[in-house]
Amino acid sequence: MQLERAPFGLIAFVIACAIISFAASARAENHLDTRFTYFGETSGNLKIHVFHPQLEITGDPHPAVTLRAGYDADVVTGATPRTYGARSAIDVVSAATNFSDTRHAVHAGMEARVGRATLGANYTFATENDYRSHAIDVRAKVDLFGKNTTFALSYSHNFDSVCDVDNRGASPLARRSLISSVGCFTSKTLVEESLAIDSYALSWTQVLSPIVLGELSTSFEVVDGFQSNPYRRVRLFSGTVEAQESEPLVRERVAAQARLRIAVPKARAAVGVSGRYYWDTWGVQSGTVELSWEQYILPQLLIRVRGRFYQQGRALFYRDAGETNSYEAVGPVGQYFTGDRELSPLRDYLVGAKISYLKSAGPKGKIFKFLESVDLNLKVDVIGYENLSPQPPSAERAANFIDAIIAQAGVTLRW
Amino acid sequence: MMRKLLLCGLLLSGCGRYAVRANEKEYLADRIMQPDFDAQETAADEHVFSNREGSQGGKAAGGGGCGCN
Repeated sequence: MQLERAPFGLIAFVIACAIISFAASARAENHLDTRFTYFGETSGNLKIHVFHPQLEITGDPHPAVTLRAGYDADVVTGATPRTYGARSAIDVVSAATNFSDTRHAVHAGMEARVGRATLGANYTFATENDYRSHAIDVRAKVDLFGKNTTFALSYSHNFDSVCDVDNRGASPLARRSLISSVGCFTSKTLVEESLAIDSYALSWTQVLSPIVLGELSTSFEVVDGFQSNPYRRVRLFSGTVEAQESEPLVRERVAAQARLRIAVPKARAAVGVSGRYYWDTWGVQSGTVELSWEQYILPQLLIRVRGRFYQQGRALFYRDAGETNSYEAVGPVGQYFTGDRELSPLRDYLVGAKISYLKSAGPKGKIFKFLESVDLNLKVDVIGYENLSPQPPSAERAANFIDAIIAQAGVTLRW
Repeated sequence: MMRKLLLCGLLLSGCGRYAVRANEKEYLADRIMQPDFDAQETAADEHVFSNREGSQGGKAAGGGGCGCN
């Protein structure tokens, strides 16, 4: 993979400055976070494996300033069907295409504390074979009423590019799909489709009592540009036409969330409850509920168990291959047709457990002579998937009760 | 409806000033009372969910807090 030199050079410079600043600061509260996450969808023959390392260093070169810089990656391998339409299970497996890709992302940012306010800005650059992204975000937070009330605002903008076949001038039914990422961003036979994302978020956190914390938040996002999967094809008109997936160019998304944390002092525990409602202009509506319990079983040992339930409805232009009004039976919805499982009606169930070992410096001195604390974390989440239409894309993944697994190990060092 | 919500919010935030003082925030200051204490884990979770599900957003804008320090 050919990485762009200029952004990585800039990020390396920022990281170097940050590390020098952290080392030079005697009053700093610095920490290094590392995580290694494995995500696998292992149902049926359509397996996907994702390895996701993360590294972030944060420090205060000045009591009122925090700098951060980090890196993460996705190393993805698997097999996925490239064409969506009614077919037998044998067809699905034989038509699956093996793929592998690696995404690299770097970010850097800073926060400044001015009186009751905190102002922050970040920049992120991500690249993979067929996708590039530059993102900036700015945020502001203010503490009011004896620090019992916090309001926060944020705005972010993505300048993204997607690799695609040159389909300029072609009607939706005549568009060809991308076969491979070879030549993306370098070959003149392929084109870059642009994608702009504007996100706005507002949140209000309120201390409700000495043991209860509440939070309300909402976000609005406008996604403008090429949002189809350039590789994916959809069968239409009894299989006589196979065209590149065609999705609308603009999507507006609104979400609202409420969260509550309640301490249980006698058990040295806390209960977390959250609910979210989501709606967008493609017609997708969803609800999410999450419940968690965190408890110290020893002064240095913390466990968490959690459950999450998610359900969404279908997009207005999604037609299921197993229904009588499928794309193969009646054609596209206007000019739109999709083979994206994320636009089909579905349910996700998640249960998981996490254990953390927390070691802090004591009266005898610091850990390894320089660390204030060390956190070690291990967690496992399992996810069940239920399709709510007869034959959505990759429906065979619903065959097993467990569709996916997330395993994560992490270390946080503070000095 | 919006007026009622706003009024409710102002009442709650006003009460907060007197309801919980700094020396009463022992439990609120603990890491288990901070929903996004592990920001790296939250980011990884969001990454997974946004690639499996058709919806995203609604998260806190730049972190909340309990005003414990």
